[in-house]
Amino acid sequence: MLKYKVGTLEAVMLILTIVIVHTILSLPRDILVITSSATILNLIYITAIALCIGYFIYRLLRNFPRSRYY
Amino acid sequence: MNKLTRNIFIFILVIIFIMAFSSSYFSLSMDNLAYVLAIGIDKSDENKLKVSFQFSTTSPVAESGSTKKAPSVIDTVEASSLSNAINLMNNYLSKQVNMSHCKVIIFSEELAKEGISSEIYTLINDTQVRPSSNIVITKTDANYYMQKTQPQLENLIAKYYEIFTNSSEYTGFMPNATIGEFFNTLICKECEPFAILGGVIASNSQNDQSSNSSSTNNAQRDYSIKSSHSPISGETDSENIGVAVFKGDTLVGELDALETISFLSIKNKADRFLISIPDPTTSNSYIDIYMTPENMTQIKVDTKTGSPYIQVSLRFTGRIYSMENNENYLKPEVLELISDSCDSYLESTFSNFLYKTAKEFHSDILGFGKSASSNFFTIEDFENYNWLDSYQDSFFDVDVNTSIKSSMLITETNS
Amino acid sequence: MISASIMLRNFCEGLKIIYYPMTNIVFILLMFVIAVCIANKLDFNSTLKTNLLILPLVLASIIFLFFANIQNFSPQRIFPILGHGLTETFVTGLLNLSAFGGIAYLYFLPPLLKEPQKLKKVTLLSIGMTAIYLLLCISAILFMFPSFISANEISPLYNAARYIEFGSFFQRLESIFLLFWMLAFACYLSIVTKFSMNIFKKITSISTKKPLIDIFGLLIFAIALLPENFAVSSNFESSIYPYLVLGIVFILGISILVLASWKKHKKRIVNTEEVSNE
Repeated sequence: MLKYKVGTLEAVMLILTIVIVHTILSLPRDILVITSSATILNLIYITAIALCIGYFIYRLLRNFPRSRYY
Repeated sequence: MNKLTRNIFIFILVIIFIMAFSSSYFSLSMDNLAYVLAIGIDKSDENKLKVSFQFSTTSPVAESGSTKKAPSVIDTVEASSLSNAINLMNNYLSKQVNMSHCKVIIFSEELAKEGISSEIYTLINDTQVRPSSNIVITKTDANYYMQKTQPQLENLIAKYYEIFTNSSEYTGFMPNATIGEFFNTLICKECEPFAILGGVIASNSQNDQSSNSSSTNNAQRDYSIKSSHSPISGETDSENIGVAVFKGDTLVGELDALETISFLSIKNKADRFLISIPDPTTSNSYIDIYMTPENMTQIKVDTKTGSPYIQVSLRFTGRIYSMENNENYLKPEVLELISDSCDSYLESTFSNFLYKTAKEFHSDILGFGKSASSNFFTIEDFENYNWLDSYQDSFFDVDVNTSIKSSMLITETNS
Repeated sequence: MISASIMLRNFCEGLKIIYYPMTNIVFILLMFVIAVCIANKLDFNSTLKTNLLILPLVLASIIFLFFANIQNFSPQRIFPILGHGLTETFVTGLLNLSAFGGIAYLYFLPPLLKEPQKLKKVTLLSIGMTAIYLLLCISAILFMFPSFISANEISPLYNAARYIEFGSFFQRLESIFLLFWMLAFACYLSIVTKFSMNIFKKITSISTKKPLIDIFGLLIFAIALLPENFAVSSNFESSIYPYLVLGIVFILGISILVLASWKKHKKRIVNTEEVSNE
């Protein structure tokens, strides 16, 4: 697996695959059951949180630039 | 050897998969299926359902150039539920019943008055039934309605069922009510369901119309018609005029042609329609105008008190369709007079229709609850307001703005 | 792996109900498992390239589904704006963060990237695109179907796809959507299995992962067969999976990274002190 390097777009699509599959199943229903008509407001809110978490993870990972921990 | 073993293994796997999936293919093969075009559900004497299935037959009839009509078969079965009825029919026929081409679902008025939620849920739960299938409530038996539905201008009954709701776009006399929309409005807490009102033309319906001539003007009478009471005669005895109004899953009332036009206009579902308004220049005379909505209906709902206050604002563009002697539609004053007459006529028509839905039917078929929900912050607040019951106390303010542009080809006649 | 297997079971149950009523679920599951085993025998780049080919199609299909259903939308369904209340929307609604479970793969990406300096771009772009995709899907369902509903469907997107009609010729397009979704699902399983095998290889320090391919395939198959019925597997997806994602991906993952960073920072300080003492 380490022989091949992942391009930027391939990496993005890799992460997107996870959410696409969940959305095909019952993720929309599960989200709508909790937040109902406020779902869009909630999505904007959790997107902001996810972006902050993602950026935080990136800053932490930056401390290990050459580690082949995996 | 390793390669040989692998190839044999792959071959065996392919055979296993073919055998495994062939059973599904066999059950879904066209030769083994009886396609239902329409389902009719009536109430039978013993508190059971009488379900009629209209099947297409696979006779080789060309659609164009042939005067022969493709026959269809109507079979009826009595059962305690819709699923049992389908099961019994599967046993009776040589093929399996398949509802993926079912275009119309017909309920009799008698059954609709008792509630049809279990049948609707069963149909929606079926993977074959399309949400775009039309739902019709007939004033006669559903079986009788299906027998009397004989397409005049099409060879295939399937084609007729496919396009018969197109007239709602240019007459506004019936809605394009589908079972998907019916189910969504049934389970929704902001609106009530509705269906197409169907019926069979009664032989004395023309006499009924002429006997009432003294009380209402001829032009107005054309718009107070409903299914089974229209002055039409032809080869097809079935007709669809009006709306069947539901409260929950129970039929509570009917709308005639003019009320259906009002309903479709407010719902933004009417592309264009013809109405007859009082002629402002000549007394006891009416002008026919072709109306087109100019923009979407503006709806404001005030829920500060327990009686909702609903403001409805519509804009139309009109073209004068009828023409008499000594008419001059080039003068702006005349057009303005006609516009004003149109405005006041439509305002009173729409207002009467809205009060009828609130005071008589207690049913929000127009879905004003969706606009009302914007006045609340949470779902609990909205549910506490109990919109569906509060609707009957509503007050309405209708504002119509019509712009009569001109007549059609002729603008002026002089004797 | 467990969640991927349960999702496979849910998806196959849906396929069985819709298209393969007479086929045993075992064969439908085997179809995916065999595809995944074959895909894993190839290099990682083949999976990535296939993913790159299929996913844009799926994204395009969702955008098409959204715009094709616009005539059935009621935008007023966005009201009441706060739904069940502030607490439910902003506190309990945090559970919806599990929709961004793809962030888990960010932990494994840095050594694999062709351009590691673009990790920030990858992170922000993937989260942004996930958000846009979720917004499209959920808006389509929210505007089409009543939100305070008394009925739940097996696959809301499939139900939304059934409403698409253009005249009398273009109807019943949901089959095409299902085809794309099946391909996307196979890609997802392949990716999950690849990452799982490599983690296992790292933990057990084995030299090659070739023997693991069939074993992991069997494992997915076995776990997918565990739930008795659709209710059990659906319950896992709605009740257990969100907490798993929040707990493992967000809390545990970030905690480990924070601790590791702190340890590295402390080590650097000690080294700096030693160097300055010398």
